[in-house]
Amino acid sequence: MATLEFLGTPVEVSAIGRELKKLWSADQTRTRATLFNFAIVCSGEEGMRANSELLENFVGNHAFRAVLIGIEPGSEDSVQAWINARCYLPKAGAKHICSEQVSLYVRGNVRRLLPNLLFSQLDSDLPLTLLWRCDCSEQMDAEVWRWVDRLIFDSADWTHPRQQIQALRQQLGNGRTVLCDLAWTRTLRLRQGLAQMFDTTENIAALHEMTSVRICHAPGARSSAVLLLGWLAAQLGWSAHGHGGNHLRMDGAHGGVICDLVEEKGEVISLVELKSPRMTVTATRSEAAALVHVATQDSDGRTTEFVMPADSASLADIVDAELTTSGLHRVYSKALAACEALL
Amino acid sequence: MKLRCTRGFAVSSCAPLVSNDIHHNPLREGLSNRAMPQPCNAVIFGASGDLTFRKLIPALYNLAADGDLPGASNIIGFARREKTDETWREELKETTAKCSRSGLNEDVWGSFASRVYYHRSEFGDPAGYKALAERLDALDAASGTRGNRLFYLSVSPTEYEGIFNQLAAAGLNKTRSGAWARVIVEKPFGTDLSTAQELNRQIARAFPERDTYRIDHYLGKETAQNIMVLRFANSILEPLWNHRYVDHVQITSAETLGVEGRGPYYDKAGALRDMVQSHLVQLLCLTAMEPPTSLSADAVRDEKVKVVRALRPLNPDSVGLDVIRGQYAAGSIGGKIVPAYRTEERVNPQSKTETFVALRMHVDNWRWHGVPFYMRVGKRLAKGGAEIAIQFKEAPGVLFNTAETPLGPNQLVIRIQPDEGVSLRLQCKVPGSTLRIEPVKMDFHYGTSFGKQSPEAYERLILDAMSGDATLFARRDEVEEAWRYVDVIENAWHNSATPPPLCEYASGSWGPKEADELLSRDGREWRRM
Repeated sequence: MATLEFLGTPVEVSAIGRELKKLWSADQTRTRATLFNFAIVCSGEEGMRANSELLENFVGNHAFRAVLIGIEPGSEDSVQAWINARCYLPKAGAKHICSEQVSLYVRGNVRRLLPNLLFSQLDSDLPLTLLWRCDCSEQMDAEVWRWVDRLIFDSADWTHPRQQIQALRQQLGNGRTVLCDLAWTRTLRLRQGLAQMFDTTENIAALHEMTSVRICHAPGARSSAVLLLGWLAAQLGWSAHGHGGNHLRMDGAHGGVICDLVEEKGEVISLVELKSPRMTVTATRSEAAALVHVATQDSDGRTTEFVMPADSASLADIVDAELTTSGLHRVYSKALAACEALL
Repeated sequence: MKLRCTRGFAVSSCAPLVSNDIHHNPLREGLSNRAMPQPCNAVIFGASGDLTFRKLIPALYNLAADGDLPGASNIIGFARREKTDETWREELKETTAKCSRSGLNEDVWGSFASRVYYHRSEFGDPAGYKALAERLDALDAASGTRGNRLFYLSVSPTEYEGIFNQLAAAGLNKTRSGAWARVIVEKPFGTDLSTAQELNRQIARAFPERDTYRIDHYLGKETAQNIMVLRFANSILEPLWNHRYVDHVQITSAETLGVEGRGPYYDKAGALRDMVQSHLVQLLCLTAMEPPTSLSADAVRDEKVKVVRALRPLNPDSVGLDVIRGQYAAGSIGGKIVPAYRTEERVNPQSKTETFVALRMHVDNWRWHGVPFYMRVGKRLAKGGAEIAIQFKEAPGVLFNTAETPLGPNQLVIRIQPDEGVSLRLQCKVPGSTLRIEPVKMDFHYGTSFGKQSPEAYERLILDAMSGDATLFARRDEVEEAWRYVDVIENAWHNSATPPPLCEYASGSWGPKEADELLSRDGREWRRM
């Protein structure tokens, strides 16, 4: 039996609903809020601990019922359950605002046990967001995928992102589930900063005359760099030659664009340099800096510079940004399609 | 209360509020569903004023901190006092650190402040505007703001004409092709219809209506914006939103505060001009308007102005019946004794200015035939808050709602501030073997469901002006129509031989008893907030 007392009060699986009611009726100083179901699937006891801590970060910003599911495939079936309330105080004197957390530790034939366990714990009529935190897709039944409205995953964790994304698409099958790749979310602020540089008529012309792109990324962050390049390619109508590598040429409306992906120690993305005959735009981020420095230099040598908030390195902040952003991620789908071969 | 909701205006579920056809930056797709603010030089007239320090600069700073302020934008403060860029920046930093909702980050401030400049000039000095024009041209060249100009008039309305004339004389109201010059003016938009018309004429001589942004910070509040979403994004409400199902509507804006040092201004304005003509009429319009044909600024404002035009005109006799005015006497609030209005600092001891108004209004159109709209606004009331309450008609008097056991009506309340949210009162059976029915409240709180802090109203509105989205700003005809309605009341109060009485109410109460009688005559009562 797993000893995961930090998950709250241990309860019988069949009594979860009843025990939750007791939990809320016991204390009138708390109020409950739910806008969506937020399930996290992870593996092992360590995964349960890490993801339970992760959930703590979202309580003040998002109202959800959390269903934390730890899995341990094996021969003997067993399920343990815990319930807990996660609260914060919005202001002095106010009621604590709380979300409920149901935690399940599932051993044995996970694929068979999981669908009913998950479905029975969802708050009715609310969408389901699933945060995927293990390499355990073979344990997921097709029935579960059909219920998922938004699937959050991190392709940076994957060893073969291209194949794994293809497999994921095949498993999801429905085309309805919104794919939310944290490797993409991790570039949100950077994309905003870069996009802003091309808001003026003069700079837009330069955008369409781009001749080279250089992106420096940290080891293990290649998928973010590839998606960033895919974003530029998809939005600017470039088509790629070849199927991989770190140095390639793309074809744009005004000619070839030389693209380089460079791995070097530092932030997830430490440099983006976009060059055209009219101007060069650079976004640089020093290691551990909270701001990105964005600068333009035109062909006459004139420069403009400003700072922008940088993307956070913390998983909690990135998941929080993803939960906040919402949307269908159509641009992500286009970026992925434009660069999938490079992943 | 559970709500299925894609938080905020998610791209997936909601169309952008306006299309962004001014420039086409393909990299902007998907990053935000709102129209994009364009880089500009923002000139604040009244750079030394309280509003600039407490609201405008902190709002602009927060936009920069959130990455929403176009990086190339510059901010130029225009005022009479002798200051340098550096001294103004230092002063602004100090107050921004206190007033900014996100605090102050040194690096962000450093980058932001490097684009903040001070321009000293008298408001009527042509040379000052000529120098401003040269400075803006130089900033355009250096920053790529391409001639976009946003003028924010945070000065007394008496300065408007001089400023507009000088802007026009220096050619600052016009800009190069493909760029824009816009002006934001703060309320009060006049003190009556004729002054509002005169003000609008002054503005129109310098700026076309499409480039004029009359700011009403109430409309920048999250809940005010949510009124349209609530009405037109929920199919269950709109069929009920008419005279067949609605008994009446109450709009309340209550303050516990007194005039708080604004005595000289308030004593001239009063509650009717200060609040009803602007904020409360805007709330009434959002509540009563027909669905607009689109979310474009003019489509929305066309529908709003139709509501004001449909307000049943008052005459001196009906003012006495349908409008109650009051002034606060001494009383106690929060356990403290507070003075009467007439003994407040810098207030005329014989003042006849109203600090409270209650009105019964009718929107004479098909949808609202026979549905009264009650409005009340006041200072030094029992409790602070602003809300709109839609009271539905009672259930038929059979089965449960009988003469022996009358049930209260259903009520939908949209809370504007504080504790923004929506609640619905329903009747429910009390558990037990006997049949007992009690009202229960389904309550949605923004703060509970959406933990994130809303941006300040000024942030939203400044960004809208930079984006060319005037939806949340008042249009000339809206303002003038509202004055036309309010002027009849002002005239009956101040120019009549037999003016209706100015009723006294104790500070800390819910206003004069005559306001209660306004509703009790109709067999109704004010909602208990």
